[in-house]
Amino acid sequence: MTRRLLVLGEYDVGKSHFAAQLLGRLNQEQGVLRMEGAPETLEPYETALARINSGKAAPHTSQDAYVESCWPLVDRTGRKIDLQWPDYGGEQLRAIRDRRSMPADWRNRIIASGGWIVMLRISHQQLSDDIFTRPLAVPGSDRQPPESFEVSQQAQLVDFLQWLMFVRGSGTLTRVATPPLMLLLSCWDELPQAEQGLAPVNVLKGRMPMIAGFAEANWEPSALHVLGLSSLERPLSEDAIDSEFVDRGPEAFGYVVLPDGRRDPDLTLAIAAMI
Amino acid sequence: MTSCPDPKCGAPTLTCRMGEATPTDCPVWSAKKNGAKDDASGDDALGMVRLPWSGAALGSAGLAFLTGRGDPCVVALVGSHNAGKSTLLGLIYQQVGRSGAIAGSPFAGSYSLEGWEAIAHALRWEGNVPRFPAHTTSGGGRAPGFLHLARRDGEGALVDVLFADSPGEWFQRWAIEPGAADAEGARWLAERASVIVVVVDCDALSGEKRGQARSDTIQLLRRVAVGRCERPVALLWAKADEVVSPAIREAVREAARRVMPDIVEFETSVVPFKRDDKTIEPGHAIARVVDWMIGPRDRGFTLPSPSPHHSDPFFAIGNAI
Repeated sequence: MTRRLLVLGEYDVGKSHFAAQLLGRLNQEQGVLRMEGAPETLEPYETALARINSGKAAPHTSQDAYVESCWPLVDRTGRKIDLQWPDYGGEQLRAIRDRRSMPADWRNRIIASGGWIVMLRISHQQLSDDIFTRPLAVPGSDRQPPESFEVSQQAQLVDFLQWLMFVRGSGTLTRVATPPLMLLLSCWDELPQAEQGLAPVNVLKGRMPMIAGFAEANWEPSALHVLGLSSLERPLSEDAIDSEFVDRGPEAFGYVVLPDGRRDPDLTLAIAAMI
Repeated sequence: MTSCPDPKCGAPTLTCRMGEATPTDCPVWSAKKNGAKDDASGDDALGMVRLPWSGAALGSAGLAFLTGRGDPCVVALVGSHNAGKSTLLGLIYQQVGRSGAIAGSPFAGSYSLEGWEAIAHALRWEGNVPRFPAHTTSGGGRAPGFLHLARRDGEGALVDVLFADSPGEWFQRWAIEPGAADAEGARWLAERASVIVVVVDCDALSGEKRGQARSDTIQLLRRVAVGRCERPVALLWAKADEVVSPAIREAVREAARRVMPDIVEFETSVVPFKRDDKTIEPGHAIARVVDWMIGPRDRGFTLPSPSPHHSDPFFAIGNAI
């Protein structure tokens, strides 16, 4: 069985770090998913793998790049899956959104995909205070022209998910069962300590309530997954070497935050639910 | 040319997105007329997929796309210029953005998110003190732009709600001369709304020109009553933190009840306000309005239950004998 996952994430959400760490875990063969044999090519991840093995952050993926590689996986029941895993520059999504038009190759990827993983760097998502949370004594009197504003991040993401559903032809009258949706809250270690102990769905409701509501309203519960992810467990620099990271190895770092808030070092759990 | 080249603009059917009084005043419209190419033709050549909604307020094309999937609830906000209609819309959206829910149901999407954000951003602390949203422009359009929200109700059904974002000048004109050419947008909306909310301006009703404001408000209420055709109507006191004298408040209330005995009342404000020694928070006040606007309501009639008239006892099963 071949399964193609569409991994969606804008610039700097950690797609390349996740891919490199996921490859390492699959090759370790200790998780719920493991690599059977070897991928047809590791070239798209060569740089990222080399960098994190050296205790440094991976460089940013070129904004024009889009590469996929096929990973032969097997789960604990012996079921074999060929997973198509993409890597690309997150600016491509931003360009689609800004132009409000989608290239044909992206449309084909959406139609062919068997699951959507949306990566959100959750610590960067925060609701602005408004008159409900920070009441006014007297409102300001100036009325700004309508051009001078920025659409909130959660509204941008809702609109983008609607695009995906439209292009895919998923329909909206009933909840979606296929393709399943994974909201992967990345860079979990960046969250304030008080939030790191919460269930991922509660963090999502607190920081992006429209996304939480939209996903709940439009996906079947069995087809909707909200997990936390820290691929590296700590920030790495592109210049300075993290010696502990080198000595213990990348496989000693990173975890998934499960729906009940527990942490598990098996990063393959982040995709197991989707295949 | 019959449409604006800006894909986010609904002119000439809707008002110009750039705020110009007529399309010919708009540089985008004029550039197209003068032969400038837009991006769309290049996109088509590259096989780009364009979407049937722009994110801005929905015009006729957007409505056609949306109404194909069901019968939306159309909420008409009727009120004079500066009454607080856009602020009310901003409050509604901002509460959805903060809760992820509409009237207790999960938010299921919107095809006018940019239009909502254009209003609601003014109510946020984003580099500025929150302020009233910009006025809705009055020029040119023949129909209101609609702001859309969808929710998933308790039975799993998708419910679309359209809020009309209309300039107050339309209604001021409509109240005086309903057949006037520049009241076409108000007529369009009054004929199609599912529910009507008459927004009255407490600031105007308590200011220097309160006498004129009272007269205008009563005239508008009477005009709504003539054309409502049994549809639900609410009287909404906007800017409720401003103190309206009991005499004026009662005069407006009495005028409303005289012509619409079933009219319901609400109060909203962007700041907390006092009622009966209690402090009413803006969020609580707006939630009550939204519940009424889009909640289930009595249709005003009851379908008779058919009762079979047969002598055969078989058909009497399940019926009282």
